[in-house]
Amino acid sequence: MRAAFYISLVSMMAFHAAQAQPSSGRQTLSGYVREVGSQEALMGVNVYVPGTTSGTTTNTYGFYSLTLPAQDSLRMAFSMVGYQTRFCTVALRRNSTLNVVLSPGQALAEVAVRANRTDETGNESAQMSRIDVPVAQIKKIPTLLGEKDVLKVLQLMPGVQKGSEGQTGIYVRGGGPDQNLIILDDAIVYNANHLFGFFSVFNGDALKSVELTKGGFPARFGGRLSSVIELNMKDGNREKLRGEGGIGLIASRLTLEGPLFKAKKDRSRPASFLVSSRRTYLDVLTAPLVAAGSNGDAKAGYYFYDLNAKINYDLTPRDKLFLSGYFGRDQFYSRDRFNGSTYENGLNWRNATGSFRWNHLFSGQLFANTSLTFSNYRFAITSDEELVGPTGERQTIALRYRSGIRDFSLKHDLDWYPSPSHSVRLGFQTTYHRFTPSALVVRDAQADDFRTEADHIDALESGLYVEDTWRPGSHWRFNGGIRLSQFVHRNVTYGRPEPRLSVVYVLQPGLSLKASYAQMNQYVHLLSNTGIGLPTDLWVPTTDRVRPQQSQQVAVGLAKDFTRTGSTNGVTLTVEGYYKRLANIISYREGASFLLIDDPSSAQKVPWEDNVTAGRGWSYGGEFLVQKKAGRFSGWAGYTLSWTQWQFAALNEGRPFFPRHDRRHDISLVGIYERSKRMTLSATWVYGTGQALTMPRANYTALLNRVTRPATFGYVIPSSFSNPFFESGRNVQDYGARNGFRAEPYHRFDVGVQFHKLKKRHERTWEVSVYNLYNRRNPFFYQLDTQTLARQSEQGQTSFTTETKLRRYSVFPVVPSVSYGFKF
Amino acid sequence: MKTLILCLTLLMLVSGCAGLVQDVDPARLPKTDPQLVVHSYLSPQDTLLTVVVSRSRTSVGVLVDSTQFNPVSDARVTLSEGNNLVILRFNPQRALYQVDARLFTVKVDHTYTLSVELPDGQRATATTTVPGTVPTPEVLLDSVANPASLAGVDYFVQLRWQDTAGEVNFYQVAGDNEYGSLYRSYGDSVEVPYQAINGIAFQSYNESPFLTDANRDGQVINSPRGQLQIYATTNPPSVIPPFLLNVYLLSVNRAYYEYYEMILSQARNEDNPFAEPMLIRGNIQGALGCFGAYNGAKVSFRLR
Repeated sequence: MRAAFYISLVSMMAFHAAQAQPSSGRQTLSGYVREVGSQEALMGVNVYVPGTTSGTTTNTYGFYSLTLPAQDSLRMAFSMVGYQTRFCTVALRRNSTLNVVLSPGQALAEVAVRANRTDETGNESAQMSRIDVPVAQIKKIPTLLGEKDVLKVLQLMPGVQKGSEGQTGIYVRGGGPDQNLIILDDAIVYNANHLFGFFSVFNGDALKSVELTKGGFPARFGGRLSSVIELNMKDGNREKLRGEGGIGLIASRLTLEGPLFKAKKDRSRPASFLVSSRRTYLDVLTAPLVAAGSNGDAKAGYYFYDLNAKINYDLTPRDKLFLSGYFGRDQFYSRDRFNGSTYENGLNWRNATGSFRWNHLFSGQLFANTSLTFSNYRFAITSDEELVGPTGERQTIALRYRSGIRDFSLKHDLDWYPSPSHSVRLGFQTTYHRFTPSALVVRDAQADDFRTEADHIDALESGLYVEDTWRPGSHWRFNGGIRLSQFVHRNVTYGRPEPRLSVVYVLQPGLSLKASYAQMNQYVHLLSNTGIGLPTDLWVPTTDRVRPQQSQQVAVGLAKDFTRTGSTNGVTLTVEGYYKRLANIISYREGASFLLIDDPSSAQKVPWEDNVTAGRGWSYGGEFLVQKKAGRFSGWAGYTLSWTQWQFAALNEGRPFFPRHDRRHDISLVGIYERSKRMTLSATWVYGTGQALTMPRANYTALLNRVTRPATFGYVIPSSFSNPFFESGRNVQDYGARNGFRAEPYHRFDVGVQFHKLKKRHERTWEVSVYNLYNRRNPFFYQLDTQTLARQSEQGQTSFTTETKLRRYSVFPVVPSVSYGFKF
Repeated sequence: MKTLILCLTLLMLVSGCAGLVQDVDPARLPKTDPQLVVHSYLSPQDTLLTVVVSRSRTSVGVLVDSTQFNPVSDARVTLSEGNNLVILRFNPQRALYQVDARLFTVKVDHTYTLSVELPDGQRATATTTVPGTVPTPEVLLDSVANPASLAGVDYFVQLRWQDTAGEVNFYQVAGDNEYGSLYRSYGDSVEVPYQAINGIAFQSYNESPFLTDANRDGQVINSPRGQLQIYATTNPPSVIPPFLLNVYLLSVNRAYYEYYEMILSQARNEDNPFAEPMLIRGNIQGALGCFGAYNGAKVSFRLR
């Protein structure tokens, strides 16, 4: 039935494409836009007829389609930031294909480079609250230890905030880090962290584009409340074998890409590949120190690595296949020997994603993509002990704790361009989730006891959407759509319609007013009681007791280009205000802890649903962004003023409170200056209001009822209060209200300089950067530390007092780094 | 370039990680005056009704004693039920307010009001309802030979009882065991016979002596297994049977149960700076602490 409906739909659209043209005298011009040399497909290229309102942009695969009145000479423009604008004149008498290549603009020749918000279709597009940062720019921004990080650059944008110091967790417009849909080549990435969140899993060398949507979500996206972070891997160079790599203080990386198979005449190679990998060597560097400190009995270390690979193949001019994958792993390990016994402990987590995608062109107006994706995140703690008793008997004990989530997903999208004023997208996605909140394996060889307790939960999440971008005239743009989402878990089914609408009114060329509304549902939840994104955080499904999270967001804004056609500065201004309501968001109950890190086996006894509580939240604020994406001097200045509050019946006595990530002021300044062909200077300065934390304001002795007779032996808690009616008191903390303490503001200044040199066979870059140049001790957490002080009186008597201090723990002082990069 | 790298390496070594932990001005903490803290647990089995009134301590700064109790001695403390009111007098030896239970009878299913007034007008009030009849528990005993233990055997005790259906019930189990021993003071050659008392540990990891009938209303409830604690100071150890056991099943009210759970929960996370801390809220308006009530059943027997 569904298949029959689909065939009818596609036939109808194809029929429309074939029949509509003669009567209207319109013809379709379509094709792909690629980068010269590498033949890398370019997404987001503006394709337009200069001097008219007719235009479109290329999709993720570089495809465009424009249906225009037939004419003998049609002048088309293709423009994109960082590339030279190309003008082509074609005769459009019948449906035609025009594939175009764009040359990267010379960085210092500003005349050739135009920011994509500056042309006729850029800032006037129906989309709002979307940020894209060119990958080339990401590579020039100074970072911690020289490791370029896509997510940390996104944190520098207004409306996007970081969590703790140095962490990659992203908080968008008051949403939590689990409310971001992070997709790499259509596959969801569940844990984007390496080294407890200090680095993200995305290797910039393998990426083609990064785009963040904060609001006004098109109907094709769903499943998360607060943002969509869409990353696309490079396809691989189709003309030459190319390589890029680098050696840094903690990690090295290498990327190779090149063509596959021989080219048929007049055509480029039909296939290409890309392989990119990165590994840290902290473990190698520290191994001699650990061994020396333990007479060779101990081994301990940490490393992470990741691997990206992609192959694409043009099966026919109408069919393209893409196969891509990511695999990354973090591993902490320790091994110790003591009195003949050995103790081995490990903590590891890994991400794997795989995507198989098939592009099919039904006609110049109808483009289809089908994706099969796989995603797997797994976290494990291992402990192996081989104990040797006094008489030489051996006993082995093994413990494995695992948690994770695994997805298989099928996605099908149709892009239909029936006329220059309409671009229709429709499709569906269905995902089979398998959650493993905890699985425990314990083995005691001597007792011959082998126990496995796994707890799998299966669920099916689906979405069906349709959206239309409509341009009724020169002033109005609409993107309206609806997504029907569904989640099935055991015998519980949730179905929700999600209306979406974006409206743009173009006041004058380069100046537009925008407004949007989006409703989103989230059926998978991340349980975290740390707020810093540890790998122990658990993904759990919606159930009969835990309802889907829901958000509604209204945003209004103004977008202004300060660039006239032919001008070179490419400065854009965006001002947006938003109001977002969150319903059924979940949090741990106070004091609940699903997984105690020091004793993972305890997790078994606590059903996670008993430990969570649902509430609501709201966030509002204003964002200001001045951005210059290209030119000798580029960068941006961003400012966010925002308020976020949560209210849970079971938390803070039901009163509203500021969540940890509420941030009143957030400022980012990013500047990149190409001083010469050989030198690039860059700097960033960030400022953010301190986090809202819960700290004790006092403590007191809690007295418990005495039931039994007082003990005469054994440990008795010392107390100045003791009587037969109450147990000895316990010292407890009075925290007052939840998150009533504001941490000190966060600010930091980073600088970097890159020295480029073109050698015979390659280009090399030395980069020297300093993170936190003025050595600001930013808070990572606070703690009350108590010290006991002994005082001796003149009579020789010793008395003891205690002194408790509020202490700030920081992670990174000034951190200089140097790295070497090469490209051939 | 080489000089630059050398300088950076030196800078990194010098900056190191020094000073990553720094004292912060405690004025940043939420400001508060010392809070009134009130504790009282009522039971029909009580012979003396007691209320403890104290003040909280500052969380930062210097304290002569970190467990400094700060008792309040000048409060007007009353217990009442309707027009029936009794004033509790301060006992300086015990640092608590007390009244003979014969002057104010505590009855099952009755609700009582506690009021604490200070000369400066500060006032705290709370009400509590005494839980209904407590079921009589069945006591299960178990022993496991353990040559390493003092008595040569590890003794365990477990309680089992029938929950009353159709009502929300909270329980506490407790116990103590008594045994004969010999005690020898340090440097002394004479061993003195000694009657030792120890609590029975009903608490183990993930097992609490506090239980509810949630999801098992009206069913038979088993307590965690409690192990008898036996200590001796002599070598070789001398432990003299018989053992006298007292085991208690308390039917406690919600305020009592929740206060205990919050305290235990806060203690579990206190070493984790990243965990969301447990905010302890008692049932007293105007003060920290708890006004709880319970009704107990005690089973005593000798173990041979």
